[in-house]
Amino acid sequence: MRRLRFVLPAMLACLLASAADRELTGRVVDANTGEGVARAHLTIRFFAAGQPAPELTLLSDADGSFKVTNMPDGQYQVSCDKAGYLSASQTMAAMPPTIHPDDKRTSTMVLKLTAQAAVEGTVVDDRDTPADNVSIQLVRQEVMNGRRQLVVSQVGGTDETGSFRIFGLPAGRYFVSVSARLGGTRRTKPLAYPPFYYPKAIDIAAAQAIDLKAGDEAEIKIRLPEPMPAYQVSGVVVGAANAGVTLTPQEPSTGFQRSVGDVNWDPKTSSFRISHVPPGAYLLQADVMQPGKNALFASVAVTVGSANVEGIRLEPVNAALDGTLRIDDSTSARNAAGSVAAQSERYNNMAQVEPDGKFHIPNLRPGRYRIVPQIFTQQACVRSITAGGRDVRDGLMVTGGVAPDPIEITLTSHCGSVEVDLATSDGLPPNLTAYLLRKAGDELVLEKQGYQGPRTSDGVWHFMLQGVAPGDYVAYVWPGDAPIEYTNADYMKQLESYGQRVTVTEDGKATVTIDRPVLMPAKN
Amino acid sequence: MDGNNQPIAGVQVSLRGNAREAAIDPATSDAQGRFAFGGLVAGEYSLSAEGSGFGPVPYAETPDAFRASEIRVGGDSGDKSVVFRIVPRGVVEGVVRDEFGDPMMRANVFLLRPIWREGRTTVSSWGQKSTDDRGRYRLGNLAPGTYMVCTGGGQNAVAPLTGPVDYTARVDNRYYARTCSRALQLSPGERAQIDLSPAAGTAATVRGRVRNLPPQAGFSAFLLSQDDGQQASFGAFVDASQGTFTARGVQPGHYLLRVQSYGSAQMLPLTAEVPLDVGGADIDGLEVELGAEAAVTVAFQGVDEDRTKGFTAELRGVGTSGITRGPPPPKAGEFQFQGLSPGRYRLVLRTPAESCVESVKLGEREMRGAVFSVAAGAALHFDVAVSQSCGAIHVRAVRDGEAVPRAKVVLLVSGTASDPGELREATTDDEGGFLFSGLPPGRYLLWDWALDGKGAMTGPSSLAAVEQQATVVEVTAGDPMKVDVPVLAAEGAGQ
Repeated sequence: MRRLRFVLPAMLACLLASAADRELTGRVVDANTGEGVARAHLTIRFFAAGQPAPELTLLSDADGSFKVTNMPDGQYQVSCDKAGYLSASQTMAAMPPTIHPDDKRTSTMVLKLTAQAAVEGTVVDDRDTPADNVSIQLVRQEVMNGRRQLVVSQVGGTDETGSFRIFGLPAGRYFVSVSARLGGTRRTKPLAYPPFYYPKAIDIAAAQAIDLKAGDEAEIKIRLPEPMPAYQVSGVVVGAANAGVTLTPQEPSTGFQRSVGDVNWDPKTSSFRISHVPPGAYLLQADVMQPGKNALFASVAVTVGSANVEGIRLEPVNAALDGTLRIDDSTSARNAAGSVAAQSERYNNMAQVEPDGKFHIPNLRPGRYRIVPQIFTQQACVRSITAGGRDVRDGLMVTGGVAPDPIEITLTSHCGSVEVDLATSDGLPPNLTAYLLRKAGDELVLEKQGYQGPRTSDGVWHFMLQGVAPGDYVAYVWPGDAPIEYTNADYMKQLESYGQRVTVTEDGKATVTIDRPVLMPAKN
Repeated sequence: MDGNNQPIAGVQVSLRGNAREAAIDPATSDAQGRFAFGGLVAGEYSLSAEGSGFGPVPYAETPDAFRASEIRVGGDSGDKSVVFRIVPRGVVEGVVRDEFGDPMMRANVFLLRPIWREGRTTVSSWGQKSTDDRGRYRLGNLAPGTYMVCTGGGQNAVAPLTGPVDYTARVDNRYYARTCSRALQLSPGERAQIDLSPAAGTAATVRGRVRNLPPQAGFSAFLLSQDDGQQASFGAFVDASQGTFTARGVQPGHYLLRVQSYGSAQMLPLTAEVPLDVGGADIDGLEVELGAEAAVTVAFQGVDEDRTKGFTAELRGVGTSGITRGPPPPKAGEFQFQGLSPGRYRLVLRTPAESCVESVKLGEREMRGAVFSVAAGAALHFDVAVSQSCGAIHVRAVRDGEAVPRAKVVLLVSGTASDPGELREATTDDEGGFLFSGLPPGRYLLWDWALDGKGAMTGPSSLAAVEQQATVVEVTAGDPMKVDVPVLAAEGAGQ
């Protein structure tokens, strides 16, 4: 008892003392040359619970180094900005308290700054007059979630001299998307510039890529094409006093949209008139947002040829999915999955699972969705997903207007597991990951992925994948950041020789041996 | 026409009705610079032009940048003919550098114009750009006139520390002060290079306590800048359990400290507004006493839900640098202002052109144009009688018997020259005229000033100084009174 009394204040004193002499030293260097970067802006941000903690901003000194003494304990992030470089940041974990109050607790970090790339240039119209207000989007093709898609990296616009500059670009291959409106006299005429890719491609496949290395400054000259004859797309949005109407080219992309035409909305008649639409295939969408009510959506494919498209009738509806989540043993399904997602190529809508297992996913735009219960335990996996007795595990169409059959999700605790073994050799990247893919219609679906376990004495890496639904799979290994288009069945055919088939049974444990990981992405 | 009275062809001219009609198709000027719009209903319209090398330019742009000239079409006057002069656009551009000479990336650059408004000179925001990675900014398509560019200021203008930093003794009070160029006279077509380097300054920490925070209540505290051209606000960290608040990095200036409590639905929200001058030194131990929020209702009599168009009500704080509270949507002609802090206010009411405010009654008291006090927790109800028998003044700005187009006209509607209430300001048209309509019968004061070609008109520092030169008009209901108002010498030219 006496001893305890003595120890406690001593420990407290020790904690307080140590909290005050935590120190951070670091250096900002050029990733390429290794030389220090002077006068870089460093911002230190502590992650305090509840409140935004005060930030500290300081400059690196002439050789790039910096030092902060008397740092409080806790997790913090150091971010670094310097003109001409890409931003960098690093997170430092909380430190355990030291035993000896005299210990200097110094954290050291090296922030490597990579030189930015930039694209600048000018835009002139088809009469060589500088074109202002032209929207320039730098687009990258990226593989995300196993799907190749276009992603806008940075955007910019031209000033009244037709000039633009887009900076802060990481190295990579870019395409330049250009959207321009006709100015001056010709706006009154039925003419429009079609959206295009530099230099003058309608389809991205014909576009000229701009490959930028770190530090590159590219300069491009863009000339707008001859304006094309343009037409009007008009119609009504039934029952909507206010609707957001957009017309976007049908492009196989996610996260990248560019609208065409000038939208006129008349609230009195709920009608829209989109002028200056060049010929092409479009998706026409109407969103009706009402405060305190469910959003309503409508969409229709529109092809503009050589005439106005009139009399379109859009009836926005609130499409929703209802369903029940069950699990085949006595435990509550909510202990295995707290929410259910409806995922399409563009959207991801989530809903909570209620205590009685019911869920309701509102505000869905019409389209094809896959139902994905968000399972957070290794002890549960999907047994079946049905709607009206049909198997909809690989997706279902949401049309709106017609209430779809309720969805029945049944989870099972009788999942299998797969051990993926990879004989290792030197020189393999450290972030190898094992993937289990399942065929779902025309696509492949990722069932599970797992990171490597420890390398055994016999030179094998084990990847343990648990909670795998019974079924047939192909197992692969590739680096976690490799741009593999695993949802694309044609693409994966090229990588067939890297995969191994495996069948998982209820409560079964399967083992597959992979000869080699996929280290080079296949050609698209 | 351009600045040299030469016609410009191929300019797209857009006409917009001020009543909300369907869009009017734009017209294009021909080789003689001519354009026309037909089939217009009578009313007020605004006109703008867009062409190669210049963006949207308003018709009859006045150096008083915030007032677009309107064109009145119809009535007995028949067709209306206007001359649309497009003066070459200018550019202000430059580089922003920090105290070490390094270019500042993503620094905000504000373009300001001095204007004369509500009886005094103020600066108002006219645009904003952010610098690129080389510290460059460019503000283009500018009409000739007086401009200033500023950088720094605001809650994000943190200036970095140098050398080893002791975190516990850290000075989180270094900031880039709002730093402005001198006022610049931008000539037509001029390209001005203005480099900026914001000065680093010392900011203050403001600490205080709410004396009467109800148990279980939370609260928020903000410092709102009351200085011209600043929209800065500083949020304070609050500790509701202690009732204390701390705002860090507050830059010197005049502020309004606004504290508001919140809690469960049963709990009445409390509020306080305290003017606060902040210098470079910390302010400690502020004590704030909250009062119940007050409410003001303004009911336009005889206005139902279908006819609320054109009626507006504004409540302006007096002594708080003219903070205007935007009106909430009218409910059958009734404007409700809630969550008001105790203080002094003035009502500014507008009615559609054909009608005017006859009386504003608070109980039995006539309050038209008056300043009134709102006590904590008070609920004031104003009944506004709207009259159809209104007067109007057709002002003609004259100098030596000649009409002066594009003169600035100021009409004092309520209050006195030394303590103006509602002012209406306008710019005379090509014939030197302007019509103020919807005026209740009564006595009005009028002034006007000519503008020089460079927009240097900044008005007198107070209307009291020119009270003796005012033209006094007794307005009666009926046809517009025609009044010639002599043009006064512009003050502040070439500021």
